[in-house]
Amino acid sequence: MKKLTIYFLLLTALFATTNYRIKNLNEHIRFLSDGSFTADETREVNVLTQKGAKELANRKIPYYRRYGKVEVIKAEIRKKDGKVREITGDYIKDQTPAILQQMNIYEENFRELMITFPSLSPGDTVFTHIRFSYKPLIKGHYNNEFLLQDFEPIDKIKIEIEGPQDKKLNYIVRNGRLSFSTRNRGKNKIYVWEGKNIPALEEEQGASSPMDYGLKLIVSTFRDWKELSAYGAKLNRGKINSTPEMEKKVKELIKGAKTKKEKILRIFRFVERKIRYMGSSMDVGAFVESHKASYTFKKKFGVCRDKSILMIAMLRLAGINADDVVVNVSRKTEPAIPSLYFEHAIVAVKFGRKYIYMDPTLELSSSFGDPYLGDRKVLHLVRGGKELTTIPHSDPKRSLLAINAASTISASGELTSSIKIEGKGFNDLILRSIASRSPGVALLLFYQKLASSLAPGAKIEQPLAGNPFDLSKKYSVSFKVKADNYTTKAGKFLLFKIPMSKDSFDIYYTYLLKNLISLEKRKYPLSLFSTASSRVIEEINIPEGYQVFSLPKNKEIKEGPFYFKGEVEEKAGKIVFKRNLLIDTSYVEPNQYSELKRVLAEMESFKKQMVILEEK
Amino acid sequence: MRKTILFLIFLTLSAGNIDNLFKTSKVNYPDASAVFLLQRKNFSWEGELKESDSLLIKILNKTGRDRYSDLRVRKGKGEKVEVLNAFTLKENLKRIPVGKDSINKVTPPFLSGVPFYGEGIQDMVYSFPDVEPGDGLYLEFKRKGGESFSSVQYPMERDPKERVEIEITPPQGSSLKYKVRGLKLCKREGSFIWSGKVNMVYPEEFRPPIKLLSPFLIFSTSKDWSKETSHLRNSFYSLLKKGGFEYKSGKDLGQLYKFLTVEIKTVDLPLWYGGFDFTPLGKIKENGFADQRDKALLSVFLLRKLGYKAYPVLANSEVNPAKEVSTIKQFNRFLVMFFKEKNWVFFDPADEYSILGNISFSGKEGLVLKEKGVEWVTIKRKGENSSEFSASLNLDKAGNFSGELKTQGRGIFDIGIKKTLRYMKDNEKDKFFSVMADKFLPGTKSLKWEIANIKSPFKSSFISQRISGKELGIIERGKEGEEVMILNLPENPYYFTKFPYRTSLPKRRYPLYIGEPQSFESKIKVKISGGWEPSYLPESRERSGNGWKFSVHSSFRNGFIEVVYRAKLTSKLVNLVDYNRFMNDQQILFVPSSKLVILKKKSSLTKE
Repeated sequence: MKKLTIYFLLLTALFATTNYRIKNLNEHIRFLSDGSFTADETREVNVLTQKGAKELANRKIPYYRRYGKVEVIKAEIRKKDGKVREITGDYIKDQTPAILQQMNIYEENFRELMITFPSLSPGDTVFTHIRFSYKPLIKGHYNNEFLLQDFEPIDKIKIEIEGPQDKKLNYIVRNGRLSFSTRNRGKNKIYVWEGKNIPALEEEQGASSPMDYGLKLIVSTFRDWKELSAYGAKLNRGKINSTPEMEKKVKELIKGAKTKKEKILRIFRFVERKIRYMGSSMDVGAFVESHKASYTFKKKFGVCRDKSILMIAMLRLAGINADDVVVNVSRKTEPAIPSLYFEHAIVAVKFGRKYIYMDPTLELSSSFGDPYLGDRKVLHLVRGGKELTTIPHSDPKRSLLAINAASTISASGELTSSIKIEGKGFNDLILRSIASRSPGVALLLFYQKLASSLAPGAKIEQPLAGNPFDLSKKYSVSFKVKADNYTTKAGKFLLFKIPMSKDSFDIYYTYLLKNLISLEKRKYPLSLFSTASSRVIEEINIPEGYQVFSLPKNKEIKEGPFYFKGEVEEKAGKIVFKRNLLIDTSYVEPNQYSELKRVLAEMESFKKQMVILEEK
Repeated sequence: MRKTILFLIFLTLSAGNIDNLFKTSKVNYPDASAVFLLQRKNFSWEGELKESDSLLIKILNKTGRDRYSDLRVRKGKGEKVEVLNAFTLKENLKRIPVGKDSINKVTPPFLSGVPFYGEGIQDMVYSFPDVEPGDGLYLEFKRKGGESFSSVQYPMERDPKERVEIEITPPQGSSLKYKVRGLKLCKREGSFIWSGKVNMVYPEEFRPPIKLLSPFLIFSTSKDWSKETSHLRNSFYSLLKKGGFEYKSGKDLGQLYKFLTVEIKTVDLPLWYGGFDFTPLGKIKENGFADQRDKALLSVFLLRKLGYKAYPVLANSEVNPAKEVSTIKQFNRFLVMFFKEKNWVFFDPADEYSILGNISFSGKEGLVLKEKGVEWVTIKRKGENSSEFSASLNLDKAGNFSGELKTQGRGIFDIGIKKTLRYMKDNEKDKFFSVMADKFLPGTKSLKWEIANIKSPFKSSFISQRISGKELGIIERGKEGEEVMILNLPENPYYFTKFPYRTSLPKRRYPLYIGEPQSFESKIKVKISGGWEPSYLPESRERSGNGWKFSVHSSFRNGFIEVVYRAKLTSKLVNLVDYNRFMNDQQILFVPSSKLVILKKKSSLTKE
């Protein structure tokens, strides 16, 4: 008892910033030729702090009821005084996950088992043995991805996978080391990976998925991506169907369209806008399968794979070829091992010699080809199979946010600005999304809030915004801003900051990017989702009776894929301000982060400067 | 005639009526995403409470489509729910029913981490097919369950309701008590029908809680509060007597408070969702977790064991309860009060971040549940709500700086600090302070940080960090070579102690809601050197009005520039008639002229 207490105290001292420690994590998986498998996971976790007790009080184990089941073979709390408490019955609850409902997915076969560990305290150890039994998720194959690092340290980890010898398991380990061995058992082969003293991951704002930078193991019986592509295409067989109603609709949509591009856009917009993103029950379905196109067309809702299948079916009715494509959005795709664990489905439309990649779940995307997809690895699911492809890089100018302003400063300190904001690509999507979520007065309130950061008491007048849902037209927002007391009078001097240099209306920079670059340095990659750029041009009329004493110094910097230029000049009695910011990557590695910091530091330094006028 | 017309409307909607209502609706709501053409509720008694609901929603735009196409019908503990009808009504009056494959039984998201208490509660999600702007959604269901004939209805929501009808048929021989606002009454034989149009609640910063704005109907047939709470009190006090919870951590009140609020984990569940009975103390001990009801039970038990006089108190954190209608459904919090040093101290045992005695909704009326009856009491807080921030900086001749930031929060501002920092690991705190330094002035480095009282049950929290950075002062040169240094004084970067009522709206629809009296101070002190001296400092000034006072005070003494910004708010609301003045007055804290300091070289510009 005393030993245990000393041991506990030592652990707490050694791991002062650790809330719990995973002592042992073992997983034994056995898969069969048909792809079915059972997995036995045992886990032993030491609770070190109150926060650890809180975090471990509930454990949620997701599973898909249509395909498998989860059993709690054993769950117990081993108290520091040596007593053991078994967890059974009412402490194990089967429920639907909240996180999927947040994504508008109500499929009641997506389940989770929640185990509650009552009265958990620092010093306790939680032990679980969970068994998963699954019908083939992937017929005739086994494929899995394991994240083997947690936000708390792991002492020992062991993954054992047993399968038929004739189903060779290919594997890769990234971002760390595991020892590897194999052995035979009858007609089966057992692959074993082991690791020790795996350090904890850290929480970091804006970090991409831990699958990008955490220790991971990917295994697959697929030979190559081509085989996987062909498998995916086989799942789609029979799904890309049509009905007379669909035919009628396609004819109606493309009537009068003069070009192939126009036909594609019309069909794309129909699927985008008229098919609501929502996931509900599957009558039948295997892993990654969609509903039939006719079903989605009738219901007018579906998830990503439903929408992409429907779009392909409708394009085919218009005589246009397109592929079902899978992609990862929140993380990178590991090219070395073919794995079916993609997050999202989109469409690749054959357009001349190239493919245009389009995402029909983005209901407000007006682009021909979605710029956010640039540089991502994708898999076309086609008969005969296809290797992994990389979508060409997307020029940040394709996602430009343009702000144009004409401002007047009066001698009494009043600022009046006429502002117009327009976006392309990703920035257009942002502007439209804001407008679609803010009907009527809510949109005015949104821009009013932005204006208040320009100057206290600033008022928006005469707002004018396009229809965010009309994707065939450019979308822009324009308004006037008025603010009293914008300037500071100090003797014969009048001082003010260049209004548009404050970036109050640069939603991309101020509300997305700026919040992600506060850390001095980073350990993990920063995910920006898309390349993008913003450009501001402002002309300022200065009050009569004043002349320029000093203007902000121009600054320009380019580091890696990041660029900033800010310039101010006096021209024909006006002050002209131009600012350009280019972010030519959607994924910032830690060693690139310092480049981004330097560029944005220069931008912030530029913004600190003021215009000083003096009385003539 | 009027009664007849109303009677016709009040019939359960038939197919023709639904179509007619939908077809003839003329709606003009540019700010709404949908409009409820009709929302009907009917309460009656069949040995238990029976509720029938029907609603007809017209979708106005895509936002409305997304917001309403999946409707939830909740089945509470012990209830039976039956959905009678659910379909999309197209503009041409075609009906598309919700198919079986579009009905899913899911766990309500707020129960996701809740063991035990949520048993028997489920949502049925009806996903309506083929919904377009201009279409309608119709849903009709009935619900049975509930031992008392009572309800609390606040019908205002994000979208407007052309017509709300609430019909009540009380049990025979009972006496109905009610309180109503914003709905008109029409009596029909044996029934009461309230109806009216209900506006949407508009988005607006610092808007009062919806319950203060919404029409409402609260009703009950319970004789009085004593009767209404008798089951609850019997359950509470009998379990209290039974005991079954051994507490071994001594008589220290702070230790006990920590035990109750932190170590016994709070199951976050709206009051009454877990039912109206308490859990035996032995079971709470076994579980190590409890919802707010059971936490109140445990708290009273342990306080009494320590020799304190203690009682449970029912409260509503948003509105004062209507005392004339005795239904416990009006309450949403279960507090505890105990007697210490000549005063009653109130606390919320489900709130692990507040220090003892800090209640964020003081001034409201609470119902004390005693063994033999009830008593009303005014909930009081201990201590004030205030925040302080200071930045002490040394400025060098090039405009770069080093110094220290400090902040302290009391009352509601202390909660924010504790919530943010209490469970952070050291490396997470490093990152947090690094971000705060950068927010103070971009590019600023965080050097060392200290925090105090993050876990204290009695003391408010305190933070300090040392920083260094560049370009606090920007040197500008005129055409003839004269130099000035411009300083734009940064603001408090710690979001939990910042002044939160910085207004952005020139006009308001609703009063500005503050809730509790609070005060703020932000002090920036800069030591200047290197041959610089101030040429311009923010003007010292003060503005005050009906419930507020703002001031800026600047000085230069012994090489130190000091600018102090203060705000004091003493009212719960800023009325619409006062808003313009409030907004203009607070600007003295934020306008550029209050943030700017200009330094000159002794050989350069002459002071005005």
